[in-house]
Parts: sequence; structure tokens; C-alpha cells
Amino acid sequence: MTTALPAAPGYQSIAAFSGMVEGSPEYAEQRWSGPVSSRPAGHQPFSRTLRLDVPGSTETATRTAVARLNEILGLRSNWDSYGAKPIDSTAAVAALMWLYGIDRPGLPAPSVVPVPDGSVQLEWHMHGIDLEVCFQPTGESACSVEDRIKHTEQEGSLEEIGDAVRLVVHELALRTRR
Amino acid sequence: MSDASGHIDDPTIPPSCALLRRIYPEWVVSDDNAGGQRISSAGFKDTEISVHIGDDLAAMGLSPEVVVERYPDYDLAAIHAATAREMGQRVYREHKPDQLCHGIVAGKKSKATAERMAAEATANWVVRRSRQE
Repeated sequence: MTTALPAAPGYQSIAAFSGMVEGSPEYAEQRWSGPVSSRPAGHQPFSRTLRLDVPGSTETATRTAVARLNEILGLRSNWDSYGAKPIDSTAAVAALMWLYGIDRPGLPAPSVVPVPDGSVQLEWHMHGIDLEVCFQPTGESACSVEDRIKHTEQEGSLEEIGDAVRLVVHELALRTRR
Repeated sequence: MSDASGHIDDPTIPPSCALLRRIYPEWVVSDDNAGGQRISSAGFKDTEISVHIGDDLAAMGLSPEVVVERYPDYDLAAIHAATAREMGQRVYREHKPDQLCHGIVAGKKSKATAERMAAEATANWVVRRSRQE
């Protein structure tokens, strides 16, 4: 089954995803249909058995990342051996939506890294650029970006430094294609 | 300085003490800028991160490697207590029956703090499993 995802503020809408909770016809009701960044406290996020998918025409970085996102969505509690929480599905969807929105030809796939509090972190460390974008279960984001060639460095949420992050992503794709 | 749970920094843990942390395999990411791999800051973001007190292990006659003895897929890396404190963290012992010589590095961790600790861990790999990049 393929269902359109709503756009979250600051992110482009991802075209579609497919996923179904095993044995749960109430899937649509469980799905949060509002902005990721304003999910009310206590709202139940996506089911743990959610599988993310993207259209076949999607750029390579997103297609590679979605496979990794599905892997980490399967992590059970204590996956880090110190009591880590399972990866929050909303954080994973936010990461996918953001990546889909900024993906472009030449952009390398990021490292997709699970965080013990259930967040998802996307990282690139190449071509003189260090970029980390962390999507938290709360709907918040935290980024750090450093361009060692241009000697620039910034830190903040996507709302605060989203434009700078987008520029660096563009630069990353350019340097990869050279 | 104490946190909400009343824990204060433990001065009996010396600045030079190695604080050992198991590294989940997916925290080891490619770093072409450094020509290799790095430990992601993702492993150092929680307000309280678990560590194993290196000096306590040594006092028991145990080597650091014992921390990953039952975790064949995990790496082991160290930061120093001094580094954690420089970043405004509290370091203290917290007994956990299933964790050997367990301690906590507590405090709010900014991105810079998590990245500094991850960088130090990358520079102080204790056990590194061979795996494909």
C-alpha cells in the first residue's frame, strides 16, 4: 500500500512511502498526519514495523539511505548495550523527508546513524565538508556544518541554519561531481 | 555541582582516568576528510552516558578489553575524565549489576561537546574490530 506523506514545515513533501503495520488495519489512524515538528506530546508515533520506501526515480543518496533507515528502525531496545531506545519512526520519516527534499545528482549517500535517545543522525564527512543533521523524536533538529575549504562553521536547528545547510549540500554534490 | 538526581562529580576519579565506552558498530562512520573512519558524535549525546571507569578495572586486575568480552561486534574507545570535565560534565560511579565498573558522564551535551568527546574517542581506540569501510 502506498500512502502520501504530509509535508512538514521546512521540509519538502516526500512523494510517497509504502508501509503497513502487521495485523493493524488501524494503521492510517496511528499515522501522525500533522507537521513533524508540532507533534503533540504523548502522540503515538509510527509503528515499529513501519517500512519506508521511496519512488524508483528518487536520487541515489535517498535510495541508499532509506535502506539504512529501515535497518535501524528494526533496532530493539538496548541496541547500544547501554539501554538505548528503539529508533523513533517519526524521526526516521523526518530524516527521509529532509533528505528527499535536498537530494540532487552527485550527492553521496550519508552515513545513517542511530542515536540512543531514538533520534536519527545523517552525516557526511568528505571533500572538506563535515555535515551532521540530527532528527529527534521531539520533532526538533540539530545540525552542525563545517567547510574546511571555505573556513565556515555553523551550528543550530534546521529552522535556524537550514539555508546554510542547503548551500553546503549543494557544494558537497558539486565537489563530488568534479 | 550536582544534577537533578543529586549526583556530584566524583573527585576520586582522577583527570587522567580513562572512561571506556563500548562503541556500537554503526557509530563508526566513514571520514574521508581524515582518510579513514571516525566515531560518530551520536554515541555521546545523551545527558547521561554510560562508561566504565578504567582505574577501577585496573584496581581489580582487569584489562579494558574485558568490557567488550561479551560483545564481539562492539569496539571500545576511551575519553579521559579531564576532557569530560572541561566540557562541563560530571563524572561519577554508578553501580549497575550488569555493567562492570560502571560510571556516568552526566551533563547537557551541546553538539560541540558531543563532537569533542567523539573526536577524543576516535583518537583513543582501545579495541577496534576489523570490518569493511
